[in-house]
Amino acid sequence: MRNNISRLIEWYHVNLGRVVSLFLLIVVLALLFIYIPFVNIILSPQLSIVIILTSWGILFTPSVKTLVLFAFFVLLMDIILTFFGLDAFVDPLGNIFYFLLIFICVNYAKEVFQMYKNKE
Amino acid sequence: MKLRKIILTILLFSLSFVPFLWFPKDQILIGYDNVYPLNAAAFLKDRIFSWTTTSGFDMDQSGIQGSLVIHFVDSIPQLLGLPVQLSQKIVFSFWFFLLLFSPYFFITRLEKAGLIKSSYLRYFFPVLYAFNFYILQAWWVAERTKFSLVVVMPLILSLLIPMALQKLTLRNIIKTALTCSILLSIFNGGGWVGFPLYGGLLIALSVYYFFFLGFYFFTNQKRNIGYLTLFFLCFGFSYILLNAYTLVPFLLTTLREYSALVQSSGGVLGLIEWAKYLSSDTSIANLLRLQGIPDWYNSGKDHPYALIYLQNPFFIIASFLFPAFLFLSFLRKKKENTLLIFFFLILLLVSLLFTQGVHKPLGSIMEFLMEVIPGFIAFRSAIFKFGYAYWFSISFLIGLFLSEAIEFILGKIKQRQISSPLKVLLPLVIILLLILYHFPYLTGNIFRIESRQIASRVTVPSYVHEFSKWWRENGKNDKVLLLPQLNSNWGLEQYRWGYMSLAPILGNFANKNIIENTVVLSSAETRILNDFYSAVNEKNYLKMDANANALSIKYFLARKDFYYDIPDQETTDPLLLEERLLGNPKIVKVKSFGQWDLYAYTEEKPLFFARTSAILGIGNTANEHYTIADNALILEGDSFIKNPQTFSHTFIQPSCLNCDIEKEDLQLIVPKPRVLIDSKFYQFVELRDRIFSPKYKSVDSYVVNLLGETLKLSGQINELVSQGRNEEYIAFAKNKFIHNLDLVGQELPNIFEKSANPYYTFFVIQQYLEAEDKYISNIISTKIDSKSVFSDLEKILLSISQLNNEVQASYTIGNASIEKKYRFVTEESGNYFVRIRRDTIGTLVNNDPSSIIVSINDKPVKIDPKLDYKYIILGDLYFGQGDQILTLVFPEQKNLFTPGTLQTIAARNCVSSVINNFSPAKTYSLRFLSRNNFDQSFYLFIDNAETYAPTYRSFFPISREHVTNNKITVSSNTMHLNKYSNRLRIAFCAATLTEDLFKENISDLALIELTSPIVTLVKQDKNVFQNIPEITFEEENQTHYKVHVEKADEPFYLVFSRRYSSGWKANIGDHVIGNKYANVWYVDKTGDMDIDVVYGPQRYFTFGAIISLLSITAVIGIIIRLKKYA
Repeated sequence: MRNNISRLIEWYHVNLGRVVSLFLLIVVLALLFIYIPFVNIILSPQLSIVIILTSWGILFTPSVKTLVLFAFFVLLMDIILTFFGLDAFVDPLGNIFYFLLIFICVNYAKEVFQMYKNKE
Repeated sequence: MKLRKIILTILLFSLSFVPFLWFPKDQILIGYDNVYPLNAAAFLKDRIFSWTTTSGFDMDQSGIQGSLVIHFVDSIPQLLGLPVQLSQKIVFSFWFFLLLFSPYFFITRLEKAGLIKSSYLRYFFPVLYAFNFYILQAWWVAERTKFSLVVVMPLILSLLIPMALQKLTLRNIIKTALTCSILLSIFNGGGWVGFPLYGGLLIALSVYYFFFLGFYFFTNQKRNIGYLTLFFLCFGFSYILLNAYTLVPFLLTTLREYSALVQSSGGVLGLIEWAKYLSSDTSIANLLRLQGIPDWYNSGKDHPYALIYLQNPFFIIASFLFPAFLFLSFLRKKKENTLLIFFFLILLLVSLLFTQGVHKPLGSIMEFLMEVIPGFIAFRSAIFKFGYAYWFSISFLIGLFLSEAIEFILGKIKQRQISSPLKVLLPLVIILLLILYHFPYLTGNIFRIESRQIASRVTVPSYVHEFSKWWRENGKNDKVLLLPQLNSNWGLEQYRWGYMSLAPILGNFANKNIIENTVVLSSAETRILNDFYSAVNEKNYLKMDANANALSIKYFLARKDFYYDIPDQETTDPLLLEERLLGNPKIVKVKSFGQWDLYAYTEEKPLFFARTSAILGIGNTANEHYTIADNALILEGDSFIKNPQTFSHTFIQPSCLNCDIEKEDLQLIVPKPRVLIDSKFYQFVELRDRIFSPKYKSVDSYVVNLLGETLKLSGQINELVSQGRNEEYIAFAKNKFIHNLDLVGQELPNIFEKSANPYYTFFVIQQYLEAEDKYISNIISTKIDSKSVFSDLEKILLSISQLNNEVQASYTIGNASIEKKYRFVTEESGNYFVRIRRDTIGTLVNNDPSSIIVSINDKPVKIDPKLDYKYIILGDLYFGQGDQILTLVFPEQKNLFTPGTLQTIAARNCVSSVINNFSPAKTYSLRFLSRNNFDQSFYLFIDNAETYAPTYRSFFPISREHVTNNKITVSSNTMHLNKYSNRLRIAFCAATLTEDLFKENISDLALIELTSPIVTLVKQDKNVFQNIPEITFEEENQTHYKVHVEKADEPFYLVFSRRYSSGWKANIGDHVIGNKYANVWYVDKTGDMDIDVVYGPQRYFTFGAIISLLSITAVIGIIIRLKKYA
């Protein structure tokens, strides 16, 4: 238990910048919607959720393996929903797949950048 | 090792012969969008010219001349003497080979450059790229234009990707750019009209550019950014030069028609709705399963194979393997492949976004691009335009996984005796499974998407070939009208033997001078042809002869195999045509070709002829083709020649300014405000309104905007009152409201002077005032405690009432049913012969024509009217020069409503009345006073009195003694009435209805026709020229004619009976449009002369072709030199 807590504290200190950035982003978006009228015309609530999720993905990118495993889980749900003919629920799963692909892309971007930086 | 490669490569490319399985008996692929040359030499020759007469009417074809390359490939086997079916098998196998070869070449190039290590990717990638449902959907119409771009994309990327990762030099850049431009010029997507097909290629090249831009930036190779940009500039420039033969005509001719084309398709918003329809099933989930093809979901059970994939559990599970393999491909082991996978992943993400089109939620990006970027709407069928980039990327990644999976399995097998044969067998099994999954490729059951026998694979009857050959030898410059006409809603040529297309079958033979009411016609041309078809069907031989003369149509082809009785697409029964045609004494039967019979006039109908007089047409001459029986030549008002000696008559058909007012029903809704006047942010709303306020182009838009503001203020006042806000703000709103009304009042005198249609503007003002009066009165009728608020609202009502009185004093729309106002401009003063079409004045209470009151510019005029079978003739009336207002006051329209009887309809008591002489083409107004003091289920319905099938229904709320004035517009435009029925039922129903209750609650019932009487004015002008010159001509080619004129004693009109285009030029004369479609030159020269008539844009093609030829020579020379130097 102590080890876990100390590991958590250590992780927090290492990633403090990212945690604060994500927190700030969420707070700024929330305040924007509360206090400024007409903002919801330009920036819909759904789009702001997408921005937050994407930012989380970029800041705390899960590994490719994790993402692929999660993709298989979503795929399984997709199969079940397709067999039951629930096409309306299948559509959002496609959007989840798209996000997973974006996060995998972020992983690859970091890897390529690392690879070519080392080459130099 | 080598043997494995050889075996697998041979087996891979042997799949090119799959199209040989698709041709049972003597069938060929033709129809729908598949235009295939059935007479190769004639087809190619026709395409060299910028003007064609093979597509149902004459038209410019500058935009599609780029398809010469593709059609040349189509033609090679035929030019070598092979029959059509074998030629198609060879051509389609060739394209299949290219679809396999180009990804194969791509992989081998990358392997050679050391960019990828994968033993089997070069076999799996081509199979996945060539055997998929996206490509299969294109094979349905053998879409070679799309295939050319599907083929060229991997070829170009096979040069670009290695180039980007090697040392970039100027030599490399130029050599690669020139090679790519040659490739893209050969596989060019069929020309510039097919430019939207470039969507996928543009995505791939854009991703490539920005990917390597970023790569160079982050790896500190900034010099290469310049080289890469230079590459694209070189590529673009050389591509433009190589394709000058098609680009120059396209830019100078076709592109001018773009905005007209968009507008005729319903504008950008109309096309976005079509995009939404196509994108309804292109979800990411479907696309990742390599499905989502729109036809699968839109054709229902008529689709030949879709249901199997959508319903069979085995195929459903199998389809999920593709996204599984895609995600597994990212768990790769080989680091060498990382960069390439990263590139393909980005390409996948971008192409997937575009391919899914406007499918929500990501589709809003595409919708935004379509609305904002001019021309982007061209990509509205997103999956078809961008799809191949997506299929390219996903096929690569899935192929990579399959290859690595096999390598992994083989790596685990230690015994060479087992692993050696498996190195061939395993990939073979996978390829076989992929092909079997896409089994429709093998069965060939892909050429039909509906239950009828119509398909894109047909046997063309021999008599079609025979007629084509006969027409080529005997037709020369004569025109043939194809009968029966096409259904005007669908415009499809459909035969019982299966052919269906928007393009005539004879167009595939490049037969010339084929006239048919296809979709390429303008609205004026459609009207003229429909007139001609009606004349044939009604056996009106005078009209038939006049139309034939005007259009120079000598022959008629009656096609008895035409599929004329498809539900919703009906047209004339071709078996009735013989009797109708031969009833004309000037027409004889020429020859029969199987199911096709050819008839002809005994006299010639030359393409070029002369007229010695013309009629000047002004106004809405579309509705009435003046005296075409007199062989008249009508020149439109805005193209006439300012020479008073040239016109025999001036013919005016003015627009009625107020006829359509009563048909209008402005639905005015008071908007609910988001920010109230008393809010701190209201000043920002006002600021935004000031910044974005439109610049008013007319007094109409200014007045309507002011009234729109008052409507918004009504909403503000309602919210302020109901929320009990500060009275100061209500007073502020009231002041603003009244100020706006004052401004409107000040503009009233200007409306008559400056408005295009002052009566319509007054009508709109009255509608606004009525709506606001009702709205503010409703607010007052709620309990208002404050005296000052009450007083403010009363002041608003007073202002509204005062303005309404001023408007009524100017014009009362209540007169619109009897008082009709016409506005027009006369070039000269004089007596004009005025008449009114009797079939357009409705059913009057008093049919005596002398009861019509006429005034010109508000001055009453005495008339002595007469009647003939078609017109009420008012006789000669004098008009000055300039703007004129003709007012006709008709007697009241007859009330067509007949008293109803009580009966049971749909288990309710109804008082219903049936009108038996109802015309669905006309517009009526149903008027009555109503209240409801007895039953909340009391309602009105309207239908065609066949069965209970209401096309309109409206319930009456309980209103006790309050009486409502009702006005309902009844027409096939406002209700889904049967277009072929002349019966109309109007019924009032309720469970407890009795005759007494009906009389108590409904009164003053009237059904009145809303008319737009067609008035024509004709003025006889100067003497016509008497002597008609002799005209003969020779055709040098379809864009050049030499006309010989003899014995021209006076000026004359030279009429060239081809579709008008400003591109047609003559070396003598002023060029105008005549009879709404033909080319006419006014020749003010006498004696004998030769006139050269040429189609100007042809020289753009010739000029462009010279540039292209010189460019290709230079490009090849430079590439050879650069290779030598290297």
